[in-house]
Amino acid sequence: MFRERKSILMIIITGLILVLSLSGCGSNGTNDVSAAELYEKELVLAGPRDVAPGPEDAFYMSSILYVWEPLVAIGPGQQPTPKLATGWESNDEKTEWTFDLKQGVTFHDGVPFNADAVMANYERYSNMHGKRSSFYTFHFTAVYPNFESIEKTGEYQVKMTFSEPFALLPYNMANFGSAMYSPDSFDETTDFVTIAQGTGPFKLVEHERNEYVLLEANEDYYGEKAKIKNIRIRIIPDPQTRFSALQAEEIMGVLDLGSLTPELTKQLLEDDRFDLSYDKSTISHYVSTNGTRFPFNDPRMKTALSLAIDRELLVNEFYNGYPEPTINILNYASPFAKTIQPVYDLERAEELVEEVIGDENPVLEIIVPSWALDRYPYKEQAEYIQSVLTGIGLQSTISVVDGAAFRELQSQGEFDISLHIQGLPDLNPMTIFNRFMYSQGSTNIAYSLGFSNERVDELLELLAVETDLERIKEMVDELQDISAEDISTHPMFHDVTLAPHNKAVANYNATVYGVDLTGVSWR
Amino acid sequence: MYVIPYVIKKIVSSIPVLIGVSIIAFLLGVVSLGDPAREALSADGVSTPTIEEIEQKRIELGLDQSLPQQYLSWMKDILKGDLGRSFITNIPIAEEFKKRLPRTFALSFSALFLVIFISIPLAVLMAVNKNGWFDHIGRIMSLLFISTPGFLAAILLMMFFSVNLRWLPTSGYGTLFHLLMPSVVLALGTSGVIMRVNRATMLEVLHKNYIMNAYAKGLTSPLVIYRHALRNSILPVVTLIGNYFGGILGGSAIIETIFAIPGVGSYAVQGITSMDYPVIQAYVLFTGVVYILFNLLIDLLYIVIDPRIRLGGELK
Repeated sequence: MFRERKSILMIIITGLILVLSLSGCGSNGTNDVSAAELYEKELVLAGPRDVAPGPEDAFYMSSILYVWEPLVAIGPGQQPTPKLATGWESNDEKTEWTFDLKQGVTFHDGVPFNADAVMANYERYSNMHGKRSSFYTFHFTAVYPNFESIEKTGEYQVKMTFSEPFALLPYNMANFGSAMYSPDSFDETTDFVTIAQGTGPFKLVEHERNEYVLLEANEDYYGEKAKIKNIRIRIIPDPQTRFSALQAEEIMGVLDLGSLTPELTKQLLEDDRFDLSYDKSTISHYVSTNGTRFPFNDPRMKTALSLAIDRELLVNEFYNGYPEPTINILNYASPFAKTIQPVYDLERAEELVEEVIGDENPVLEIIVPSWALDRYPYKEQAEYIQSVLTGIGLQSTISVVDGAAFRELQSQGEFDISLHIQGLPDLNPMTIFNRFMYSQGSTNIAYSLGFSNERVDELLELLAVETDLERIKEMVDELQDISAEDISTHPMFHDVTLAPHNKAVANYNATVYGVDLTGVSWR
Repeated sequence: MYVIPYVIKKIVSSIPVLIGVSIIAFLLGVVSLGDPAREALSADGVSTPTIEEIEQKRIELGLDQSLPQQYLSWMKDILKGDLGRSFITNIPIAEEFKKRLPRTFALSFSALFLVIFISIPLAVLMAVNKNGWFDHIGRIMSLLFISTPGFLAAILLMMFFSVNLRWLPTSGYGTLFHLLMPSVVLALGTSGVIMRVNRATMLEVLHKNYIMNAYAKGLTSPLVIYRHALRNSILPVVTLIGNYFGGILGGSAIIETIFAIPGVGSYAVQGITSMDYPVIQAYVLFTGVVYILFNLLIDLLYIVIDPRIRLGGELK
């Protein structure tokens, strides 16, 4: 009886081993199922602001969602690169530009992308004069200066005509400058009438304003398809809450500007579950001085301040060493930017201060915008600047003021030193030079920089009509050299896009402006 | 019978207060440092508008008109139920309020619920056990509640209940679990005050002759405490809750931002940081009106709690 039972038991065990072995042989099928499950598993990320403000925004949503695509994108080396336009050419005068369009592309609502769609989009753009956006206020005449017309020259070809040469047109068009939407998703008011329908690898399927956006992979996408079906991006305004949500694994990563402060990122990386990806960002940090009143109306004082700041120390101590210290006004994500190493010379700074200040004892006022404190260690940075000033014999006070009051104080010239950032709105270097260094530049006036340089004005006027790219590069180089010598504003460092994330997520790669969502997958 | 004239009297006396609130709401936006036209044009954070563009925008937003003209036109729209449009997003404010109000009310009333149903029973127990261990712990706790800043309590609770125990979500809105931590944080300060005040009023009442009389009649302790002591000690607490509700409503602005609840409070914070006049004005007006209505409700509650008011009191 006992022997019989033992035999039965042996048969059962052998059977079980056999079944398990066979199931091991069929491992390919099991992996397929798990890959499909991983594709279906929703990924939750978070950002500090609403990345899809909705129909009233010029773009409805940020480019970091990969829903809409432009005619011209930002490619490797930050050069304008074909996207929905497969190529372009111009006449020698750079007044006529012909764009060939990608064929076989449809918008998410099924409307075909062709010359008619492009014409409809430019009809909308030409009516946008200072159209509101959380990402890029759209002034048609600034993006397309001296624009005369656009015409359909084929089913997949359009031609733009300008009254003046415009050699840098593709640089202006990159990304936000030429976003394409289904003509059925907007009306003559230029507002959207449906969720904006693009051509990108993701569709926006759900949007609860200021709460979340839900993306779904576009399975008919013409290019490399997304590796996760649904990505939910929650809006969590408070940095400490985003940090806690990451730790609690409610969200797997963060994205967008100021996604996590450098200090919180450092703390997060002490935990083995997390990793960091970073890349160049279009944001640069500046210290601007009031050039309309004593003592910074004297260029020697501006030079003294620049020489007294140890930018390496600033970057290493407060930003974990990721950004690039610089004295170049042009952000390093610009295709025209060159590296200009900062100079730190405290002795020379002291000499210059003594020459300018003499027996006077001014108390300088440093102003810091309160919104920046949630993103950057600006309080510590201001205290560092204060200690630098003390070191060269200058007294100062620090005031943290809200954003609106900060801009008001800047424009009224009621400050001495201000801490701020500046993003690179497009790939055209002229934008930054025009704003900061042109004697009538909008930022020059609004920030009370009081900057004026005849050669700069002359170069900017020449650049506006120059048609030769090599010559343009030479002039931009000269402008960058001047910016380092004759200071309009003090660049501190070019920032990085930080993309901290949980290691459960693969290929969470930071880009110049966000994270490459199409490559992201579950491990 | 007495209630209707009482309510009418209260509503009529609220009208000058409401007018005052509307003037303050309007002026608060106007006197703050900053230019809404510049803010509206700099919403993307990279643009610097020119002086001409700012001037053009001022005209477009009606900011070139005199202050009385601006106030009258604002009031005219308000009386028609139109709160205007946000200078920054161009979205109608009424639309935003409609969507956000339920969230703010859910948060504020759940905080109020905690204040009433936790701090009052605790205060009664503290008073009944005067100088006992429960009373000592209760007094220390109430001091701790009053002195802990909301943001610190929020971080500590988040670390404990969300990061370590994973019992509650860190942020967001949707379920009761989402409301638990923000409500507790919002209720903390007021609860501490109510605990201390109600303990003091209870102690005062517990020494009255009618309480001793009730005990002498052979009534049970819970009955004496609930029917005679608590009812007579609660009036100052109800008044206090009425006053503190404004604080709860105002405090929700910060709590909503921390816990990522897109309510009216976080909308106001956005409005304040971007000088969005219409949003700031609508928020101040809204909190003023809610405060007045809530206090009217409290006044009506007096009639229920204290029959002496109904029998004579204010109406006489």
